[in-house]
Amino acid sequence: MVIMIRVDDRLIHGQVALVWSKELNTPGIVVANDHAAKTPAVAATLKMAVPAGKKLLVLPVKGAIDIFNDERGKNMRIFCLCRNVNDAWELVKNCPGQIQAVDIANVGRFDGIPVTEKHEVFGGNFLTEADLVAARNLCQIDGVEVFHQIIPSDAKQSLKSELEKKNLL
Amino acid sequence: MKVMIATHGNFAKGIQNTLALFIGEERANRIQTINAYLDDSDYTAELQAFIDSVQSDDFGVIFTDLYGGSVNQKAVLLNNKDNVVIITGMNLPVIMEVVLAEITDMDELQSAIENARNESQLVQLHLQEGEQDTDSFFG
Repeated sequence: MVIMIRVDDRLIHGQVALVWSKELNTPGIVVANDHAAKTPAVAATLKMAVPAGKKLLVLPVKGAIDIFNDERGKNMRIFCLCRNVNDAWELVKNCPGQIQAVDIANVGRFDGIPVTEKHEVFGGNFLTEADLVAARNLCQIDGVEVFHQIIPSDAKQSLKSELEKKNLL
Repeated sequence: MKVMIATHGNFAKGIQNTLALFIGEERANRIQTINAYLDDSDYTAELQAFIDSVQSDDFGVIFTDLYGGSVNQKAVLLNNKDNVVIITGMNLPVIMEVVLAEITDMDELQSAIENARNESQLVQLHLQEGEQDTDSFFG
């Protein structure tokens, strides 16, 4: 069961991974990212960020979907990292009932697309048109909480409310 | 929990700036900093004020740069409270772990320091050839 997907353009990194996997009590961490999965050096650097005692899989998005729908995956508490909203939507869409929450934490800062072509949400996060479509889709799924929350002691800010506020819904 | 970072020169302010990237500006700015010896001002008053400000039902952490440095020495001499601790030889990992998890338990603080200590290493990349081992992930 995926307790939370965190959408973070830095994927998994150090103390953030530590705090969240502690907070969510997730022995398993899955990075769902096509590029990382097919580039051994990138996967190796991501492994550097795994907190002691946690297990990591670096998979392409399709591979992560298989794992989340696997019987063993359903019975394990998992924290998933992906890089963009569209990947998060693919995971939610294809793993019905297996994902509890999506945290849009840090997006759209390092993909090379100029900020002027994107929509800003939650101060400092930037969505392309494709991201926006995915974001709207995510807001419509029952049973999946979608919000922005950098660290556990921050309040969760609802994505739906933010999109409404910005007339992006 | 109240946090102070006290160092020679601009290290404290610098690390606070870096922290903000991870924990947000608001949380980073709540950490008090002392950038000692940039001028003639007496920073011990700020150290004392910080220690005084930690209420008996609260917990204070002062991070300092060097064990043998005068900033740490002064902090140690001024600290008269059980609920204020000083962690020296500070680095970014230990401050992040303590601040992010808001650690006030002594054993957990030791653990955080140990983790941060182990972070200092010669980096060797271990490339994994072939498929990910899903069995050991679930096992």
